[in-house]
Amino acid sequence: MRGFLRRDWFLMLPNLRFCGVFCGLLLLATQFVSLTGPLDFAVLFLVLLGLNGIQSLFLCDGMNGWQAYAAAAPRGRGAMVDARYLFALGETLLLTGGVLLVSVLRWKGLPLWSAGFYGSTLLITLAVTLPIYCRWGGTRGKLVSVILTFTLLGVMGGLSAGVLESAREDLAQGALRGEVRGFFAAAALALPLLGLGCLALSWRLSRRIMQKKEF
Amino acid sequence: MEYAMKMEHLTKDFGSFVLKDVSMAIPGGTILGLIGENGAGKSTAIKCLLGILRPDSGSVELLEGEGLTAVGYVPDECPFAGVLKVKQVGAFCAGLFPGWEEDLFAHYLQKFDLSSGKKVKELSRGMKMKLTIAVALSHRPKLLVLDEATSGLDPVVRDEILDEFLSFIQDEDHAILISSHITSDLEKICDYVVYLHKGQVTISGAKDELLDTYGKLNCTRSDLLRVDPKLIVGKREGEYGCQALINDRAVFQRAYPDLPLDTPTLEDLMIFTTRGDRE
Repeated sequence: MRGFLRRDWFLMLPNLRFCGVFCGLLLLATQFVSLTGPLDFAVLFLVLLGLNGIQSLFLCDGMNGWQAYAAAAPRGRGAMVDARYLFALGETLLLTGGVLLVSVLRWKGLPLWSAGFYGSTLLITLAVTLPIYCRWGGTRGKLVSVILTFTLLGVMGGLSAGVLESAREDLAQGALRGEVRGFFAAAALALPLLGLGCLALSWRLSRRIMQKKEF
Repeated sequence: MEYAMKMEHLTKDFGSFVLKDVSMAIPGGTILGLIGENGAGKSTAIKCLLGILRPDSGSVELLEGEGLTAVGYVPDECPFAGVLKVKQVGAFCAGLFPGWEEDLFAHYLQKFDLSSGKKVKELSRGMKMKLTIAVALSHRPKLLVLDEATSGLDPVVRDEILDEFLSFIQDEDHAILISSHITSDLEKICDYVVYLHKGQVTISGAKDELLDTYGKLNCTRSDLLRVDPKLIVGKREGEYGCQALINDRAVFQRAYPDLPLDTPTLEDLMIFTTRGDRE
C-alpha cells in the first residue's frame, strides 16, 4: 500500500501546495478584516477542493491505464483501494485541522464546531463518491458524484440552515441559546462518528468492487 | 523451473468477441511471441494471465505458484502520469513491488539514458517505454510480460530493447512473453510462437520448427492450380504471379519436386492464414 500512497501523494503535491497558499492567505486575512461571508465560501471551497483532489486522482488513473497496471501488481487491487481511503482520511484531517485553526484564530463567525461539521461533510461525501469512482472511474464517476454530492450537501445545508441562522443571531449577541448549542454539540459529536462509519462501510464496498472489477 | 507460465483452455466471452480455448506454456529460459492481427485477442490473453481480466473458464499458473510477485509487466502505454518525475516513479514503485532494488533502477536509468529529474510527460514514447521496462526489470522478475511494448518505436530503440530482453533471458530461470504486431522483432528473439486469430490459437510451436514445416510458394497461376488445395493455407494471386503458404513442406516437396519452396516469415504465416480464413 505504501507505494500507492506515495504515488497519490506525489500526484497531489501541486494541489496541496495551492491549498497551503490559499489557507495561508485566509489566515492572514482573518487577522486584519472581518470576513464572515467570504470565509463561509472559502471553507466550502476547501471542502470542494478536497473532493476535487480525490476526483483528479481517479481521472489521472483513467488517463494512464493505471488501474489495470496496478491490478497486475502483487496484492494491487486491495492496496489501491486502501491507499486511496487512507489518503481521503488524511485529506479530511488536514482540512478539519485547517478549519479548526481558522476558527481558533479570532474569526468570530466560525465557531469551533464548524471544523467537525465541515470535516464530517467531506468524510460523508467521500464515503458516497469513492465507491462510484472505483466502479466507474474518474470521468464517468464525476457526473454521478457531482449529482450525489450536491444533493447531499443540499439536504445537509437545508437541515441545518434554520439552526445556523439562529446561531448567527446568537453569535452576534455573544452567546448561543441552549437548544442551539445543544444541537451543535450533538452534531459535532455525531457527525464525525457517522462520517467514519460511512467511510468504513464505503471502504468495504470499494474493496469488493475493485476485487471484481475488470480493466 | 520447468514452466514460467502455463495457460490451459482459457476462455473469455465478451459477447461480441470470444477468446476461445487458448492454451500456451513458456518453458524457463525461453521467449514466447504472441502474434495476431488487431483484435485477435493478444491483450485479452495477457490481461487474463495477469488477473486484470477474469477468465470465464480455464486456468493460468504463474511461475509454479509464485504468482504475480515475480512478474514484470510492460503494457502498451506508459502507465505513469505525466506530471510525475522519473525519480518519483522509482520512489513509489519501490513500495509496489517486493524485491525492488533501487541500485538496479538507477543502473537501468543510466543504461537507458533516462534523467531522473525529468517529468514523464517530457519523455518521448521510446523513452517512456524504456522507463516502463526499467521499472519492470528493477524488481528482478522471473517472467517479463510485454504487451505491444515495441510498437511505435523507431528501429534503433527497438533493437536496443530487444538486446535487453536477450540479456534478461540468459538466466534459465527467466522467461518472456511478448506480444507484437512487428513480427520481424519476434522473429529475431523468440523461441516459441503462438498465433492468435479471431480469439483462437491457429498456429503454435517452436519458431524454427514452424518456419521449417511451412513453406512459401512463388509460382504461376497454372502451377498453383496443380497444387492440392489441402496443402494451401492461403494464397495471393497477382498479375505477374502467385504466392501461397504451404502447410507441410515435406509432403509438398515429395508431391511437387519441380516447385521450389522458400522459408516463410512469421508475417507470411499471419497474412496467409488470415487470407485463407477469408477465402
